[in-house]
Amino acid sequence: MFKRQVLLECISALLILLFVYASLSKLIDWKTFYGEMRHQPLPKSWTPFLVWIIPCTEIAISVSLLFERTRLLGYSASLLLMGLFTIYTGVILLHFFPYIPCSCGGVIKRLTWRQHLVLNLFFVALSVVGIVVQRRKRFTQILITKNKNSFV
Amino acid sequence: MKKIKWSIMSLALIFSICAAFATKPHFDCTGFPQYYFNGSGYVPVSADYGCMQGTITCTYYTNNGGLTYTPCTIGLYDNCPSCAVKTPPAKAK
Repeated sequence: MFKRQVLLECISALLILLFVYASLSKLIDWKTFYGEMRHQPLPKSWTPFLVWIIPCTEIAISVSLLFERTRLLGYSASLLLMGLFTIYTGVILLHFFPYIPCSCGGVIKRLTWRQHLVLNLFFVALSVVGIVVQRRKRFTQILITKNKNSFV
Repeated sequence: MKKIKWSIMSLALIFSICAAFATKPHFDCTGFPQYYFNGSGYVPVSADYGCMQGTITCTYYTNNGGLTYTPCTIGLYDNCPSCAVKTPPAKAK
């Protein structure tokens, strides 16, 4: 039980580290981020929304990962967001778009798209492990509560 | 357990915030007018330019009226990246 809890804390901490770093580096260097988003192979009308939605979602996920009650939701949202980023990276690597844009976000933009893909896959895997372990933990807690109630 | 949890979380938060500020570009050269090298000289960038994936210098800036040009952004210069996206696919014959 203790080991499982420590594992969950470590997974949450790593995801928080990623999301807080990524969102803050976007917000701090806002002008560059806006410019880089404008040059992504996505409809230009999406840019004004995406430049707010992405960092805000990352911060919201980080906050939800801090608290026990919202952690499962945080892992699921993290899996969804990282899954979408991974698909986007994969599509870029498959040359689906007519050009390859730059990758964004602090030092992460120094990575090539292949390295980006590996990083994304690592965090997708972490989110999956988080969901599985958190669900098991909840299931065990429900069983313990049921057993206690049956004794009473 | 709560102590361990909040120690790990605080460390993660402090580290990520510090890292974000530490990796922030200290000098924003993009505030200056941007130029690209067209092989023979430095030309002002187009309004809709983009720097695509690449390791060479994409744009330059000058702060002495064009005497010297200093590298600013990295990547492959593209004068209109969205033009390629808007190009309709060729019709099948």
